Amino acid sequence: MIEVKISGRGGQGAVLASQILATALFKKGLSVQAFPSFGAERRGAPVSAFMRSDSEEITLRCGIQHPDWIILFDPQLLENPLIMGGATENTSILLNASKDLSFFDISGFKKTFRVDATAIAEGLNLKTTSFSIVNTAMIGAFARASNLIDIDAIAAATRDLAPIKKQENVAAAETAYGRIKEVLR
Amino acid sequence: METMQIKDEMFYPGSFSCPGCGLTMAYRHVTKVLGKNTVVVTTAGCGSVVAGYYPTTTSKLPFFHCSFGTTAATASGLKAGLDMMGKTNTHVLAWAGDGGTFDIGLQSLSGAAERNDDIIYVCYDNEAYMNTGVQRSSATPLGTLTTTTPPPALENRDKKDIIGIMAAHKIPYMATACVSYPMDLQEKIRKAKKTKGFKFIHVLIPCPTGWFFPAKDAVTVGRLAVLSRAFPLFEVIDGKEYRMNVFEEKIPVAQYLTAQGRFRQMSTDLYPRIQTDIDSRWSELMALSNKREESTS
Amino acid sequence: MKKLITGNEAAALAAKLARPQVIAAYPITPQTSIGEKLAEYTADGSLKARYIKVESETSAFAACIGGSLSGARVFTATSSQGLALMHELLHWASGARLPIVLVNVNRSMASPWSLGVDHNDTLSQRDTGCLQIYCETAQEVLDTILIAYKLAESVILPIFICMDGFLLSHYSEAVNIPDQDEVDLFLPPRDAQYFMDTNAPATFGGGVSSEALYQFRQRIQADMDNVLTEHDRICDQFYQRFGRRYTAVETIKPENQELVIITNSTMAGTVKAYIKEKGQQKGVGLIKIRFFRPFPKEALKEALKGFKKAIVIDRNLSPGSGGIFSQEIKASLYGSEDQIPIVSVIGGLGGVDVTVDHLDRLVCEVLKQKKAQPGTIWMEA
Repeated sequence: MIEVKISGRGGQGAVLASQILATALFKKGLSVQAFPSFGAERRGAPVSAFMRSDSEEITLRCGIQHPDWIILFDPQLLENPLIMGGATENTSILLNASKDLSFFDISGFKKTFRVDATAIAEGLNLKTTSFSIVNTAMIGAFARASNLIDIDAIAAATRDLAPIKKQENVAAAETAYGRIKEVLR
Repeated sequence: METMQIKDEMFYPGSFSCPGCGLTMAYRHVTKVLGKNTVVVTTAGCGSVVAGYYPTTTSKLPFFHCSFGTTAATASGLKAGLDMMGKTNTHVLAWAGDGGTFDIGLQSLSGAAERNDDIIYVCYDNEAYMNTGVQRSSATPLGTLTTTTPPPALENRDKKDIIGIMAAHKIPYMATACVSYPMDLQEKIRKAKKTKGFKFIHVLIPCPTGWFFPAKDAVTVGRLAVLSRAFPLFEVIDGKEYRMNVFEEKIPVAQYLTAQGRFRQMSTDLYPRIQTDIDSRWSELMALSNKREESTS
Repeated sequence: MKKLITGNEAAALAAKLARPQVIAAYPITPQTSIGEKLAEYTADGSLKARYIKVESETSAFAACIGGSLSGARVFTATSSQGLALMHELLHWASGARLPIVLVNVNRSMASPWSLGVDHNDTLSQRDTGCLQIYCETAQEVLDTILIAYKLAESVILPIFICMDGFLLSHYSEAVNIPDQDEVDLFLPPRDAQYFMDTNAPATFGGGVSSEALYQFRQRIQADMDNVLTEHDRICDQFYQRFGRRYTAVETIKPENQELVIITNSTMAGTVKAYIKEKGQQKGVGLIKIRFFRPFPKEALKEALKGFKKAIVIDRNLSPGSGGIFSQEIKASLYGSEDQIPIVSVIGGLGGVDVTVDHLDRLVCEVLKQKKAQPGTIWMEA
């Protein structure tokens, strides 16, 4: 079983990202669960969405305590214990970050990847008045980082689920898939 | 005005009402006009007692006793169901007392009125919780003696302005009526029957048991309420167009008050204030009706 | 067709497939998206129903009572405080013998308030005369709603379909969605025997003598006694048409039956995961109780056969007593020959996570005990 935590700010589309990922895996015949963090919705507050997948039926019904993957839409969240509390040495992380990561402590993870999803999203005009919509780029990058799923499946699920700008969102996922880098220590 | 006699009674004789009960008279006139293609929802109150005990009933119409305070919502659901079952011409009568309307039923009444659900809501108002033995409600007028407003703590607030509240909902048709003017009541029900949307009819029903007057005087006391203008009769269309029933005769309110035992504990010092309030309310209503005069006799 | 949908979407889809004619609902987290979906379906015409957007849950259920009295099929959904607000009407509806279907998304009762799941909301309605079924998966929610209409209309009593807030209502998962044609064959329109009929006027719900009330209550109990047999019959029909089988009690028996965990709802799913991962080797089994009212005493006794010990995990609390399922189970077994030690455990109140590790620590602790620990054990939170 693979357990993924996707964290961003309220309004950035973490929930949709978990659903795109789950849909892509579901279409490949895997058993999946996608669910949001529970509580009242607040724009801008740190939020998480979760995804489980397995080749066998998943009956587990509880939160994800120690994710295999944490995807962060905002690298500032690395410093948020509520978001990062469950990370272990078996956790790999994917960050939305431009080159400079020196501000952040990224030691102690299994693997670390980064992609400048903000630049990709902005290049495709995927933004609202307050945020760049980086969710589809991040999921595209995750496909490459995790090797869980091929980018075509992600693109198809994105086309299904993106409420607007379907072409741009697919392009974001594909571009990020190509631009992701592992951060080596 | 149509003064047609309707022979078909929708109400069996031998009800559980007190002698001289205004409610039974009102119910008879209302259901006679509505006719056979009508279903009735009522809530706790004198109306539910009058309806009879299992296995007997006084109602010739399908009749449901709903929980206290949910008359309007139950009627809304019933109307929706009947519509969906293709019975779009069936009238739904919601029949509730002042407690079930002014107090515990106000929220669901407001909801149904705001949605403009197609029901006829009739509030039979005897100005207190009579069924439980005369406790004050928010329809109880100033100076009234009830078991929960014993002397010297007589009711110290005016009757709630339910008509003002309902007019604010801008429902297509509403009216006040008194059982002492049965043809006027029938005519108003007839109008309600013809109108689509939410209809609210507020009927004053004199109560010998709770107002303390002889059973034979029920009709007379109702007339005194109307002629003294303590209970003016009028209609409001779409929440804004007021139409008054104007009677040539006008009597001082003292005549109405002294006809009933429930006001006997009140100091006569209050009479002038009550008269002034009634007169100013009447002026307000006349102004709202733009002096439209519809004489009734 | 298999689709990835949430538990709430499954509930709304099931309601749509059942073709209710009157819907009345009021928003409350975590139920709200059921009401929103049904509003979409009625707005786009894919569901031909009157949706009454009421001003409170009291009115929602009152409108359902009115709708049901017309002979129409009705639906409502709520949660937590909303269900509590309906309380009086629940008694009213069962007494009036109205087959209203209500989906409750379980959420703890305030105060203080939390959006997380526990079952105090529905269990507080224990004695209202409404049937109660608890579901584990979105598939089960969808299927159970269809079964519930048939069952409620057969025994003429209201029914709750209970689903855990967030853990089920907001999980997206794979659900097999039946075709409308198939559902129509399984669940024809309601054929009400008694309703507000101007051609056959009758009075409902009025004053009765004490003796008559006594008789009406006996009738409810007699019909309740018939529910589980009727449920099995309907579930057979459901299985034949849709290939999925449901029972009042679901059991997993390992070869070596050391210990059984008895629980309900999504907690049963986590127990299944635990059994697969660790519990099987330790001889741990599961009894998942789907029905709470009527309580499936006989099926429970049958399922317990062979186990040496039992743990009841209650996601609820009756303050001053303990877990409500635990009480029911112990009462059901009173006087039966092969009684086994039963350990009562409270866990997951307010949506607190219960994980495989939590379960393993609990099982290890209980297996060590020679006798069943008296009182109530609180799981770590």
